[in-house]
Amino acid sequence: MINPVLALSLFFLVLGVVLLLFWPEKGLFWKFAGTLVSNEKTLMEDVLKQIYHMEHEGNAGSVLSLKGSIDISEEKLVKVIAGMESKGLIRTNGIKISLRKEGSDYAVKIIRAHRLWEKYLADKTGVDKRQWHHLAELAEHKLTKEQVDDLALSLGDPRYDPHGDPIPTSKGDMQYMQHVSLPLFPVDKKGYIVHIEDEPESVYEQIIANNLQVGAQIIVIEANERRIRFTSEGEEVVLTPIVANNISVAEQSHSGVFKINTRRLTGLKLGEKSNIVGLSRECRGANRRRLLDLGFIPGTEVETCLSSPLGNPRAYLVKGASIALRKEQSDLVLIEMNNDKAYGN
Amino acid sequence: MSLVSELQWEIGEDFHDKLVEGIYSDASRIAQKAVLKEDGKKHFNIDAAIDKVVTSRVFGFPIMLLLLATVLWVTITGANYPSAMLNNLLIGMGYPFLKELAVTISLPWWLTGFLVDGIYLAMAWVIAVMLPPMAIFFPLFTLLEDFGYLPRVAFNLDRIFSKAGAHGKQALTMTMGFGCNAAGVVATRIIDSPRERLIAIITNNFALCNGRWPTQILIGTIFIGALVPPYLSGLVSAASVVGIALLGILFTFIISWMLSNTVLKGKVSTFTLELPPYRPPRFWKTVYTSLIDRTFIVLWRAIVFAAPAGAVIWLVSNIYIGENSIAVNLIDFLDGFGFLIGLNGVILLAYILAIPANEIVIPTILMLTAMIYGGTGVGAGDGVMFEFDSQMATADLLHAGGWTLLTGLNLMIFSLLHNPCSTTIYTIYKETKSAKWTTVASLLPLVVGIMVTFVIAQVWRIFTG
Repeated sequence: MINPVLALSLFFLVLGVVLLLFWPEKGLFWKFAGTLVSNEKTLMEDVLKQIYHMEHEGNAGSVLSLKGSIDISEEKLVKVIAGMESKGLIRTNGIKISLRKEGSDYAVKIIRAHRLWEKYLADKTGVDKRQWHHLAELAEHKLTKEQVDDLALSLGDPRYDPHGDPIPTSKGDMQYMQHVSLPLFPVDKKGYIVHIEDEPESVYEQIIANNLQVGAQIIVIEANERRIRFTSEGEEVVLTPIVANNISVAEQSHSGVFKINTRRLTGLKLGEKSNIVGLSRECRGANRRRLLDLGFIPGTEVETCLSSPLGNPRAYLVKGASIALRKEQSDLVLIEMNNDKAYGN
Repeated sequence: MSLVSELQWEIGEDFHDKLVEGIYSDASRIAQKAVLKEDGKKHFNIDAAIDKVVTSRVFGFPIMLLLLATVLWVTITGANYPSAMLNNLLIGMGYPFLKELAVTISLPWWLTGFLVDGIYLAMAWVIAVMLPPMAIFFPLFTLLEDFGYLPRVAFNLDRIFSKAGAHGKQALTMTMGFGCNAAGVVATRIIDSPRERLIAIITNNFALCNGRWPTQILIGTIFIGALVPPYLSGLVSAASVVGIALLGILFTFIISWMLSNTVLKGKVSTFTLELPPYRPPRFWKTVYTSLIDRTFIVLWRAIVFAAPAGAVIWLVSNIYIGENSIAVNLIDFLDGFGFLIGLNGVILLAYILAIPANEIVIPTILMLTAMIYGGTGVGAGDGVMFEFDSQMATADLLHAGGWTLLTGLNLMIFSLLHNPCSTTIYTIYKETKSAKWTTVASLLPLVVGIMVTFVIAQVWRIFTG
């Protein structure tokens, strides 16, 4: 007979080791597998992409600025840059590094793969949006040009990725939208969120926590150095300028403008009626099709008719059918702001 | 192809939206012309009134529990008589008749054993235990479904299930699982979101099915109920069985949460739940279709799987390797591991042999125990499954087999947490069309069960010395 204390300790030891290795995302095994991926090609592509972004923002690339945004030793970075130069991808001029045509094309190819993969994750899978960026960072180095083109075709050649960034075409063209960062947008003017930066993670997390989405209609109420106060789809939000800086706003959204002020269906009280204006851009893929098929289309009258005992989900009356939606879903259905009709008479 | 992508670019991303919009506006124009609206307003108000009550904060949950309890109570009490009748007919009368017939036409003993003691007895057992409760449970359930009440249950419970990353409709497939896991797995078709459907399929086995209730009740009475004075034993043993069923629900939530946050998190997830208008159930049609669709299909599959199981049970008990039968050799082999998880070799062998149907676990355990410990005078021979009429006799035999309170408790837990029966495994494969998910659904509960019983056994031994 085995000593039960010994057996039990052995069991928990093995269990502990397995959990330590394979705990989702934080497990040592996954971390180890992650380090294996970052080989020379990956590094080079990351550096190229970074230089491209810097040039796009009007800054010159240098070893110092690159080291700030890519997490590797300076020695390794210098080696990678030397390699890139010998391949004719970049040219160096003193400390300044700039892209040659070949390098620029290469970078655009990687960006195309990255943004298409994010679009794919958003539309065709159920992966949480916090993970899109990370997964696309891995996928962009693995996809071949043919795979990327097939992906684009199967997604219907999308123009923008889920964060609102333009996706380069196979020829390398990109349609940037005119936009300004939220703190600079004029007060009391109707605007739309057209881009949300997904880096750094902590800032992105705050934006998500406030339920802000690309495509959302906003009106800035107050903007100063301490805080930015605004409404997004009828809900009031307050952000610090640092966080608000990662949100870009334009007078027009990717899919045009709504003539009326909108708010979320979630805000419609029990027994109230309103008209649907549309579905948020954030409502994607299977979810979007499902809501459309159920009759959540612009111009339809909707009434909140029932709430479950725990408050969520609630049921809405649309085209004579009673449909239950969870809060995450009713957040994505936009209704008219001011045209509430009272129930009954 | 380039023209296609160019056009796609021009049309823009929301052309699907526009298309649906167009279809709806066309449809409503046609409907306005063609359909005469009846005075539907009044009818709808009745629905709204019912909805207000069955989803209210105060009455919502009590009504649900009351209905579930009623359905289970009607099933269990209602099934007693037909079960006893079938048992009497198939095992009490049919079995001796077939034995005599075999003698009359002078079949060799091994063929009689194989056909009558093995195949026939296993099938008879499965039919007698399984058919009556299923023939009552499924029509009742389908009537509630037809009336329109079940979507409201999903509506009420969705919040709780969504916390575990699952769909409110899983409440229904889980309840269906209390009747039969294979039927529960088929019922997951009502969940149209791929991720939540897989969760519901994989965790359905944690709903204690009708084939396992008798095991729970028997062992609960013998081992748990016997701990307290006789006037309390009925209550305590019932509570222990309910406790096991609740433990199963707890595991449903834990495993659902784990699955949705790990292996299944990349699967597409949507939520839709329509609350259809109430309507009077079409009684006979419902009874007929639920008998054909659910009861008989499941029963047929169970019989198909039980027949070979009966044959194997008889064979391992009657084919000898060296001095002992295969069964005895296997039991010796499994005893060590069985002890480690607070069970024994007999129970493990019974669970391996009874993969096709949980109904024959107890008869197999009794037969194997009698074969090894009971000596002569108990049972009807090696490889012939049996049950005692009195629980005292069962208890005596099990105690003679070295069973303790720990064995009883762990058997109850292992009966909840082990691989699904082969009917269910086959159904999971048919529903998912994936060997991978079928394997996960089959092995996951078993691994959980072994871990739980192992920990209980060790802790038990530490405290009892």
